[in-house]
Amino acid sequence: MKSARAQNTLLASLGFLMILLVWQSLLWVFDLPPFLVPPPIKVVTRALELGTNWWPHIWATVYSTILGFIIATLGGLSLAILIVHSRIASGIITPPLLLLQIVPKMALAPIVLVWVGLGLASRTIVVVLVTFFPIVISTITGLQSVEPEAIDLARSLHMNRYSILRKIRFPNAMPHIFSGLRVASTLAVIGAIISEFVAAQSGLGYIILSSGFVLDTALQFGALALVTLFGVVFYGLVVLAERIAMPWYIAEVQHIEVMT
Amino acid sequence: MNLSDDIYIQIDNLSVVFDTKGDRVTALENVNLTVKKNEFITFLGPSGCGKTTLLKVINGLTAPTMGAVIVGGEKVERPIANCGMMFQAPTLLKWRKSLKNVLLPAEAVGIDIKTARIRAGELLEVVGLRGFEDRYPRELSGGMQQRVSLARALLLDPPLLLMDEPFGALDALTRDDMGNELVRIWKLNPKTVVFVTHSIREAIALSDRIFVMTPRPGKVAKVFEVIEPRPRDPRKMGDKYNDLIDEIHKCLGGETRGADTETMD
Repeated sequence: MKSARAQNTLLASLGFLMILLVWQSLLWVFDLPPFLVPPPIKVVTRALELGTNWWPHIWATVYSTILGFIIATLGGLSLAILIVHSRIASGIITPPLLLLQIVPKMALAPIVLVWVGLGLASRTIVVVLVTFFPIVISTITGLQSVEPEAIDLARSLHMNRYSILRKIRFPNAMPHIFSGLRVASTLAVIGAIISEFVAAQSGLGYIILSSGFVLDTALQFGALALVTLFGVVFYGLVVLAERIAMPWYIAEVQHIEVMT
Repeated sequence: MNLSDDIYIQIDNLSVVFDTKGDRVTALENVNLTVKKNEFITFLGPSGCGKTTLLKVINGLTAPTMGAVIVGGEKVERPIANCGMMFQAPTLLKWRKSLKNVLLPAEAVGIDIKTARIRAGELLEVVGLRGFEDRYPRELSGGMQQRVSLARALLLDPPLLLMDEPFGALDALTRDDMGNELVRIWKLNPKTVVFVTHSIREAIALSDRIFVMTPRPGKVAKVFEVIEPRPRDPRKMGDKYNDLIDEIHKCLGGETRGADTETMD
């Protein structure tokens, strides 16, 4: 098993190395100017030049992403629980919810800017808008996907709606909730970057945009790499939380991995 | 001895009509029966004969359209708590280990968890799952999951067990095993058992009386008594066994024989 893992790591490294080689050789073959496509080494040196000046930008992006994600999670879970438990609430909320889901949330960013202005608030709102719907929808699906027998059992044990939610519906919904959170975690980063394109004076998205104006593509690539790295780490954290929260579920997933 | 003291379940003129989108379906029509305390009875019949509905009415999960159900001297008007339930699916909570699954009724009713935990451990031993207390349901076979489900049904030591085709999804060998196990446990600690099945063999192996039900509308067609001592061995019952199977078959009509030869043989 251990050697298989080492082999996988080796193969993956090889894949990334090949991308760098192709990138570099394309530059040589077509003699592309570095301001159009910077060579990999220049991306690294340009990024290092900025040094600690990166921090406020990284922090700005990370902060609005995580804050928006947390707000969307709490709000999404609450709304889903309300919808599943109240027929009236469901009737009122569900149709506009489905409609709003289709609205391209990125297109709302300029409107949010008009209403809230530059700053953390508007960027966080965009992240919330982007991540909210997958969380709500997946939670509703999860809460409703309980075996009817389990509810019969609970009713015959005189469990009330609250304890049915706490002991049966909610844990049963966890795999669905987490798949929603995984999707939301990648969308959150996208939302944060878009919001910085529209309304920011800091953040990695702001760097990508502003360095483009001066054709500093090396810096753009550097910022892009950092955004991607953050996206991977953030997604990884959600997966980690999932493993910790659902030890009963994870073995199932591992089983599938072994099978394939 | 007063006869009425001996009766645990009494069903009078029970009818259940479902109204689904304007379609009226009579699930049960004019059912009358009594079950004695600590008697083991079976509702036997093909799909759609209302046996599950009957079980749910006894439990209070479904309300009668007409008639009444009296359990333990009280009219059933809402789900009754003093009964253990088992379904065709084990209906275990996937995120709970065996022991915690068995403990669910104790948490719901709010009795002392420490005492319940000891009893849950004992029950897992009774159903043959000693050493599996810390396994998640998916780490157990189908038969083992049903054993956990049985232990859960027994946790509060209810006077009544309601079982809806509990072994229907298991393979034939495991199914016989589970039946024997159930009889053994029932003998150790007698309870009134209402068991739903569509297997004639299972009904004969387990029950004191077999209520044969026919569909559209669901009603009790005939009642058979089996007095053979348990565990019952078809080979030792000889002709009596085959005669009983034939009679029950006749009662169910030819339709079911063809429809489900696997379990209706």
